[in-house]
Amino acid sequence: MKYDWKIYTIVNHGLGEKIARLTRIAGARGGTILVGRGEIDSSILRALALADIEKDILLTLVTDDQLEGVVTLIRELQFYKHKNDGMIFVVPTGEKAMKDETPHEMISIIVNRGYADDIMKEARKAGALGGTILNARGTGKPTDEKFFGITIVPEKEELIILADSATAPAIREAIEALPCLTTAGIGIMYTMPVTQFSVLGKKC
Amino acid sequence: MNLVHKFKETCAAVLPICAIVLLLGTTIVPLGKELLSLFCVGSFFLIIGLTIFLTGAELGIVTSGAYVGAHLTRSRKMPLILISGLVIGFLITIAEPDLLVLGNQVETVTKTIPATSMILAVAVGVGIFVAIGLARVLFQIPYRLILIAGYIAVFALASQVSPVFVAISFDSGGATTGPMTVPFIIALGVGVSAVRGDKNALEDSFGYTGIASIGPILAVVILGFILAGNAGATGALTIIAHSANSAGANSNGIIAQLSRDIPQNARNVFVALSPLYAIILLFQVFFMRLPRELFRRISLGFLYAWIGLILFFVGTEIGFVPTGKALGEALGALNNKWILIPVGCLLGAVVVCAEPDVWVLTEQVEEVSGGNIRKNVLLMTLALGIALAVGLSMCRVIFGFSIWYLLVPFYSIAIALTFVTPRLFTAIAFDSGGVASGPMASTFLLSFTLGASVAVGGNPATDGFGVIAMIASTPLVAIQLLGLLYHRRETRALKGGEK
Repeated sequence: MKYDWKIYTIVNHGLGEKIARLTRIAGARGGTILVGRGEIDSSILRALALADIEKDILLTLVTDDQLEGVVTLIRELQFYKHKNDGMIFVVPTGEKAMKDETPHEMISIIVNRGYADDIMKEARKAGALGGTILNARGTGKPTDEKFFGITIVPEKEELIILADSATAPAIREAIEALPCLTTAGIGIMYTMPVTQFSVLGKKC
Repeated sequence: MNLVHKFKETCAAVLPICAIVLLLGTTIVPLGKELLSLFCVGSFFLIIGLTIFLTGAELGIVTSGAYVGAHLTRSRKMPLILISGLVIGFLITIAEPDLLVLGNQVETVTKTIPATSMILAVAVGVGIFVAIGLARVLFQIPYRLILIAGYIAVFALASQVSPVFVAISFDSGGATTGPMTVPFIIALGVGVSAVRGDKNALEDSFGYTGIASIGPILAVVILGFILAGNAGATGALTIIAHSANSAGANSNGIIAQLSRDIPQNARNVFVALSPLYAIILLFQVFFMRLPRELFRRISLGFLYAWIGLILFFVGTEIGFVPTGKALGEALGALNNKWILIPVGCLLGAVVVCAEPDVWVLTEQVEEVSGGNIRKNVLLMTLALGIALAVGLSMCRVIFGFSIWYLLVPFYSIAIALTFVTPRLFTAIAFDSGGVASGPMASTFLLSFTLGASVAVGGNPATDGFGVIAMIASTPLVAIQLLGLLYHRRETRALKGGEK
């Protein structure tokens, strides 16, 4: 079996496991849940630093035949409480990637811990509508630094921004221009083509 | 959003207490309209305060603590790490308002120890033990070893010192681990472990609060030795009980009380939080240089924590302390005194869920374990443990036996369990001991127990303070047992997966 598609489902914290259980019915063999944080779409709350919201990021690998079934299942679920409870998009893996132009792009930025909020602020100015921040650890150095019995690894943050292909270049440029990111070795950024993007929420 | 989410959670935590108190207050033991309405206003303040505080603690105190911890480890400078641990432990303890109150009580009682020397002793104790906690992780000394050594020293010394100091010292262990220090110390530990790549990092994330609460107990016991013989032992306890009793007893109108309580608490909490913020500022200017947006969020977090704590303390003072005392007195005066035991269990179980630090700890555990150890499971276990603690304390109020009969077996079992429990759970267990004995326990449950004890005709001082010591000891056993269960389930699940 070839898993050609990776489905990203980003929903409010707590829903991830429910969805993962249900996707098995539609044929998916499993799923991995990461915990991250997003922001509510309100500039006043953001200014007060009260807009944070915990998110589950469910990653599901599926084959060609399973893709439609799983994506429709997640989209049509009944338990979303608000109009916008999250989103779903699909990233092609392997040879499927990069064949056609896609309407959306996923921008991933991996930086030293602490910078993601500043980057998000800048990305918003350039037209990004939102982003999700994950905590992570780096293993980039060929030899990890040792200190007594302890191995020290760099702490990282990964910021995922989904943007339509028209605004994505502007966002990337704005992030690249950030003064705090001019130091060498502070992080990396890359984009991936994305299909099947839709907002998850209560149907009106 | 998180604020709404937190509001729902705190409602779920506080409303059960309100329901139980209102139910008891209108049926079995009529408490009067005035007191009950004060209690409702107090609960409202409590819920709002707790919501704002938890949001602020997460944004400001926990985040900055984690960055400081990570930064210290990454600096790889042993002297800097140890000195910082010492200074941080010392500074955040010296400003704790609970400790100031305790110090003043001790001064009035003993007449020989000035409050300042007592506070200094406790703060030095915490500072040294935070540094020991950091050093332990760096040198990879087993957590168990530190605990065994620490508690053997505590018990050996405490059995020799006059009983007054046993009560005071175990109480100061609970008082120092207050709502400002705990989130920061927890986060410091999580931060230190976060930069580590080895597989033991998760286990070493917790346990600092557990170690830090040994410090004050030892410090006060040692002070007790220095002053042995010249303290009026029995008179002391009654005075402490009286001062605890009289707190919040006069209620002359809600407005008058609020106008007195709010500015006073605003000042106290400000004094308590400012050294912490000063430390962050110092680190920011000289070492860390965090990005601007992040630092703005941390500063806002401190502001929210300040506002939230003011409301929280006002709520407990106007509502929870007088109601708890009245409830205890009324129940103790009934013919069927045994009713104190089930009511105590029930109150203990629900009150611990309203303890602010319990939420910070359980949230951090859930986050660090990647959602593997659920917040609700930990809360339930803690609630069971505290129910047992308060129930046993009520037995003590009725039958009046010595606290040693409870403390010795509980601590022995807790230490014995450290040999078989997964190490992560041992660390969480000893943390929760300090965390569970927070402001809710020392206001509501303490005044409830004191009230009951007065009504039953026992010795309010020893029985009342016993409740805090008990609340600090039962989680050690309860959480470790939970760890054993988890471990068994996990090995079974892994075996199942292999088939």
